[in-house]
Amino acid sequence: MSEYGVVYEEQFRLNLRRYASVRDQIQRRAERVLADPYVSTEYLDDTSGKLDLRGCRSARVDRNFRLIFVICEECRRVPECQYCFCEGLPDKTVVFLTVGPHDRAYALKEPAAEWEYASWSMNGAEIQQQATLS
Amino acid sequence: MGTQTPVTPTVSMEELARILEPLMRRIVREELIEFARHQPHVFHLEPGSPLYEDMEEILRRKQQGKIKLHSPAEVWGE
Repeated sequence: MSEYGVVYEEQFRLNLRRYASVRDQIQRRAERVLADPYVSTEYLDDTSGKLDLRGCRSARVDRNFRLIFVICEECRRVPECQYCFCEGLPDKTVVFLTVGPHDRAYALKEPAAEWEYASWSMNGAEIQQQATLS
Repeated sequence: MGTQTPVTPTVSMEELARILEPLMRRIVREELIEFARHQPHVFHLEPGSPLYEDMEEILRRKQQGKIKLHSPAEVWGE
């Protein structure tokens, strides 16, 4: 059992419904994050510098899907962290903020339908790539 | 019976360095491995991506005092 407690921001809950087709994958990855949130996770940054994402972490669900979260013991040490919703929570708590695709193209279409289509077309591309290589 | 004075072994600086060096190397190596394990890469969020927009939305709701946290049972329906 994980030593980390967990809470989920509303955005995470909404996206879990939106991306229902990958719910099991998301759940498995979230459990792995809770086992040790420092392993195989990355700090988050913003290429434009508009958002200050210091203190946030990201974990990969698959090629285009990611979890975003903070660890209370870590974000408490980052005074600039704007996403530290840890007031009243123990240090050993993970706050999952959101989950979803990081590809810009996904923002332009209906997310759930687009995700299913993308999974299918990605597999197709992989098959095509394999065929080209062999 | 006479009083015995404890004898403090004398070690030369060269000998002390020879004894301590492998120990220090081992400690530094272990600390570096631990540091590397906890030193993740950086993932850059691209503006306009769904995740980026979510982070903007969360910040907006924070400013409005509308952040809502849920328990695992509420999220996974356990």
